[in-house]
Amino acid sequence: MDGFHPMRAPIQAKAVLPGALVGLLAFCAACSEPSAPVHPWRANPAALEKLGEDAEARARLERDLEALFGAAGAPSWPGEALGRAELEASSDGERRLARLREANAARHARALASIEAGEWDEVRAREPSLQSAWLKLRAEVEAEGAEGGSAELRARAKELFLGWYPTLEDSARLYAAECFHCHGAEGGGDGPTSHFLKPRPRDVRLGVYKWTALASPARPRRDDLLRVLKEGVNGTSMPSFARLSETQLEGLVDYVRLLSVRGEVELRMAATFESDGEWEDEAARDELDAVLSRWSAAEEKLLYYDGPVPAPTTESIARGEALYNDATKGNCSSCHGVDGRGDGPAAWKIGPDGERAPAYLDAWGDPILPRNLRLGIWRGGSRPIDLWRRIANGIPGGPMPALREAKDKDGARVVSDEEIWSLVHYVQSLQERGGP
Amino acid sequence: MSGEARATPWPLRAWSLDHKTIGLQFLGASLAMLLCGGLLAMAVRWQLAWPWTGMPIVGRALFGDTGGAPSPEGYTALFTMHGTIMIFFVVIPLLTGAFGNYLIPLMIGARDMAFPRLNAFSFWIMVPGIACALASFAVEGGAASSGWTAYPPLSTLLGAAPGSGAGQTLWLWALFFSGLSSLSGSINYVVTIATLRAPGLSMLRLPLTVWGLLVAALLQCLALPVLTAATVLQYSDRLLGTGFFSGGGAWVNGEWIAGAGGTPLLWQHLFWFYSHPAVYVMVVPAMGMVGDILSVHARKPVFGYKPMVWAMAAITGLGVMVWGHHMFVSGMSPVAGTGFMLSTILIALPSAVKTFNWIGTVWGGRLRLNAALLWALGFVSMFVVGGLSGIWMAATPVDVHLHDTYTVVAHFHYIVFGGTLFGVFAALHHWFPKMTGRHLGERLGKLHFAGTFVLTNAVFLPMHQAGFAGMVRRVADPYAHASLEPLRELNVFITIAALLLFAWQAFFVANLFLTLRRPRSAEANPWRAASLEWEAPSPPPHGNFDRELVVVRGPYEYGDEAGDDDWLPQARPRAAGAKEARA
Amino acid sequence: MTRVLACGLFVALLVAVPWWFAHSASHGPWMPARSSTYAGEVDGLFGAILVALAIAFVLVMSLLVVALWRGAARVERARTVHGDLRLELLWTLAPGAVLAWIALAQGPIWSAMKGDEALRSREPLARVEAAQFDWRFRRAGPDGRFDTQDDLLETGELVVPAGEKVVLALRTRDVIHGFFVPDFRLKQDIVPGRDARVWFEAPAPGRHDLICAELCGWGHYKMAGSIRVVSRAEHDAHLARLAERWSASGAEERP
Repeated sequence: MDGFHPMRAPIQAKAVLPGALVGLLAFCAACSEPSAPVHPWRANPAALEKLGEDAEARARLERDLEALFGAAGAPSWPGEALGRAELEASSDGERRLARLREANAARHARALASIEAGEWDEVRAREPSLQSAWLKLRAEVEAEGAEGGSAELRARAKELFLGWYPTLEDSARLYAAECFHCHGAEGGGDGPTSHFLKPRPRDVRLGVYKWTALASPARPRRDDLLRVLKEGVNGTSMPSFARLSETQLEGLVDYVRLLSVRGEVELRMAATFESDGEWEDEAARDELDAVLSRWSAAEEKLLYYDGPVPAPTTESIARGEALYNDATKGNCSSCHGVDGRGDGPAAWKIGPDGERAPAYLDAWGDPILPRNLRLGIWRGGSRPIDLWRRIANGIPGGPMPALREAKDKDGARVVSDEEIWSLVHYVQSLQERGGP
Repeated sequence: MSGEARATPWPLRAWSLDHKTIGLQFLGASLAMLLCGGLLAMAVRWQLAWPWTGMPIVGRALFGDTGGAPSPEGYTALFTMHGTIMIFFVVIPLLTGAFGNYLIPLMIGARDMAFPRLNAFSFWIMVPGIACALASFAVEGGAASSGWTAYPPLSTLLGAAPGSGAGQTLWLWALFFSGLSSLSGSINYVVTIATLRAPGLSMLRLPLTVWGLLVAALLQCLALPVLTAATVLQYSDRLLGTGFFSGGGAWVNGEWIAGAGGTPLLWQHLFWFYSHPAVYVMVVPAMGMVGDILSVHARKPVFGYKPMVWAMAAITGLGVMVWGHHMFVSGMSPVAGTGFMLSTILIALPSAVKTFNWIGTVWGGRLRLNAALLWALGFVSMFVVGGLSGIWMAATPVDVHLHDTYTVVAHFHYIVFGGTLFGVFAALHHWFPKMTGRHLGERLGKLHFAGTFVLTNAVFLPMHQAGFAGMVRRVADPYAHASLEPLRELNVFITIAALLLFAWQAFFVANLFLTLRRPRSAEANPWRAASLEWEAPSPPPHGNFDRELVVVRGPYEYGDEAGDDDWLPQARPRAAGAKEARA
Repeated sequence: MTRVLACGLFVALLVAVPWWFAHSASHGPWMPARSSTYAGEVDGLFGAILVALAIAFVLVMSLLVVALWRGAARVERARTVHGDLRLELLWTLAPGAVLAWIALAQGPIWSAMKGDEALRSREPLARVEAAQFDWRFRRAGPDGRFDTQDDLLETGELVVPAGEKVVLALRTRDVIHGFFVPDFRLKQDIVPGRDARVWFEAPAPGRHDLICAELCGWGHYKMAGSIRVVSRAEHDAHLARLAERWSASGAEERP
């Protein structure tokens, strides 16, 4: 070299130390796999308002709820059967459990293949309860000294994966990853993302559900919740969760029911306190029983059309149009507008300042407007029978009335089941008439 | 900074019109933004490895309500702002703002820029841009969340995403300010290089650094007005109800929004018409600087100076004709796709020529194995990896599969992180003595280089695989897709490497601050380098040079034929008896 | 010492990159399953380019390492070489030839993907209706026209017949979405106001992930669907079941 030394000042080697420390710390932090945080269940503000500033009452309510439902990290179900037990008891339980086995076979295909091949180290499950059950079984296998497992142990391991049904903790974890952001930890429809969404995510604590196949008012069946999870609610931010396995969805249904029942008990307890100023000893249990009885009555309330579904014809559409616009019959146009654009006069009111505002609030206290029927976006399902049910039964929680219940002064129905089909055909035809 | 300048109180000095002060201001601001953008990147990586878990620092700051666990819309804001900050407030200001400002007048023997006030404007107009970008995290709905590409209608329909409200408006302002900054700077550079060169300094005697910066400035002048105009159009679409980028009616967030003509593809054309050339703005100046650094520390002339210049000119010319390769899957006509495929393949050639010429430059050289040279060689090898993987994207049928996947992410991070930032570190080691009169620590610099080199590859090499497997960009939770579930372990590996890479930059920060605390000791020309900036004292005073310079030869006179001491400065008459060097 | 360490670093890169690409199968999938007729051709082109890239990479990096190793130990002055026109021509023309080959080789695959006559001659099997954040599929029903009362809709999963060319019409209801089926090597953005058409032919039955490839909002990651390929007979049976579900009266749900 040409004898020059640009680096005259000595380098301070001790500067290496802080850098190395930072690196080491980052490494340690990174190597411990973080677990999903459990978002705690908060009290419903509506309930707290009813309790007032009574600290003792607030503590009692919290205690009672925890005794019944556990805490966010360790939920428990106070009713009789839930989950697999409930499915087993149901009339088509066998068929449904068989479907769950199929779903498990698909979801755990890799683990099952590894079991078959005797590669015990490769067997893994994302679900905490399944993973710990598997580790326990594996410890047994190894305690018995069976390398790779006997045929019997292998069968037991397979059965573990095929017969898996999520515990409430598993479902709570899944809920935290998939549902929490919109529906909030306690199902209040107030997760971090919810503030932006229109319509607001469902607050399940009221126990009111819009998209069921039932004559209202009723709590939904398992199938109603399952359908919403699988198909989503078209036109809202509720997407389809068909990508999860059927078993996971059944587990989520369990967990949503738990949150819903818990929320209802909480609100009813608060209402009792507001009116009576105190609680009986067994108040929580009594409220729970009242709530659960409504859930268990769901199956009997199925709403269906007795007979073959009529196909749309020019006549039925014309008849539907007449009913739609007839104020004494369907009276649909008063809200949904003559063209079906959801701009009928009855849907709006003029506020004190003279500005237009939605005339109705829904059960959750939000302003609600009638659907634009020309878009072909149906939240509660797009099948003809889905529309029929919407018209026949109305939509719980909102101003849409049940036409089946509309009676004249003699007690006779104003619109027959067949006429409701005409309305369905007319409403469906609106979409064909071109865009919004 | 002369003694006179130092006597001025610092708030007044901040308003300096001296190109060196402005250059250092750009440097400081963009290094600070580099830290911000890096933290955002760490948050993104954390989420990809351990979705929905509480993350320290960034998570606590942005998602305090949920114990640091991000929300889905928060995640989209994270990567949007990572990209925006890194491109518009780190890489472009670092290269053109900091090094462009500092080096251009010094390397062409000028006393300052042609328009010093415009120069100061170009820095200070960036400050509100930075403020808009940072402030957007605090507004309702959070920061912009439609990606750094801001494709309408996601970005124009206020109901399409939480960040498409006030956050997107601030994002547009940030881009607008950044555009004004770059544009005014670029005009200044072009005029300065065209008019203020020292006597005897013909265009073909300019160092490659100046050529790189000139090419970048020309690209900015050609293409940036298009983006700036497009941001104005998008602004008007969002807030004034026009429909330049609207694509017909949309059902968004429970509401029917009527269409207003126009097409979202128009934005894509306008956006990429700037943003693809911007990729060259982000790398060509670094190419130039690396060429110079290799030559100085290999004690050997740049191999093929004219082909290098021609390659840069070709990149400028072709650079504005290749934007369509970002739109191969957009539904653009397949015939246009073929055209853009051809121009894209053509533009690979000058890059290949440059790479071989860098190798030619160090081949047979007498290398000084210092940090600057190592960073420059690191630049070359990272550029090779990133450049080669770009060939896949130019082959349209392959691009259809790789488009918008992590392979693309790996590709451009090899260029922008492995390439440009390595080039910036090389340049800092090389020109720091000139800028501050102090040498950055060599041992710390080498340690910083070694770890960064290894970890950069540990982060970005595996990303190719994730992309091949179909892992798309911008997904908060890739494992929502069954076929991506096996990538979990790979992503954990990448994230740990990324966290280490981030932590490793502590060596650079330590080096920077330790160096700044030491006394000024650098000579005017510690590297025995030939170009003009080394004629000025270190650091140069206001006005740069203490005497008139007359340039008599090219900037790369090194080696056995260059004087008695293996080099000949550009601006001094050669020693008697030595052979005349080629101009 | 520095020389050894520095060369070591670059040699490590020289070895690591090809090694990683060659051994990627053990780190995760290399390319996903080839489940469409053109997937093999795309992968063939990909592989051919990979070979070219590997050769270029090893060549350039080896030269760099040798230059570094020799240069760091060099005592005598470097030769003042300003360039060599023949070398410049060589390393312009050689990569140029490879690039020209790539440009030519992709033409037939590109035109097959984009210009197949099926796109013009066949009616779409279904219309994909993308919306934040769902994949929905609309079948035309007996009348063969979309947006009529006999349309059938499905969510999340599209069932298509194996062994024949399937044409899909793509439409979005709100923002841009990307229709991406990695197993088919098929990706197409769906831009509002422009109906796109794609085609593919899946030779064998199977289930394939459908991924949204274009950022479409906060729930972009949730936009996961699937394409299930079945035999023609099964496909028709599926359509019949769907039609039956559509004309249901609700009575079949009774316990």
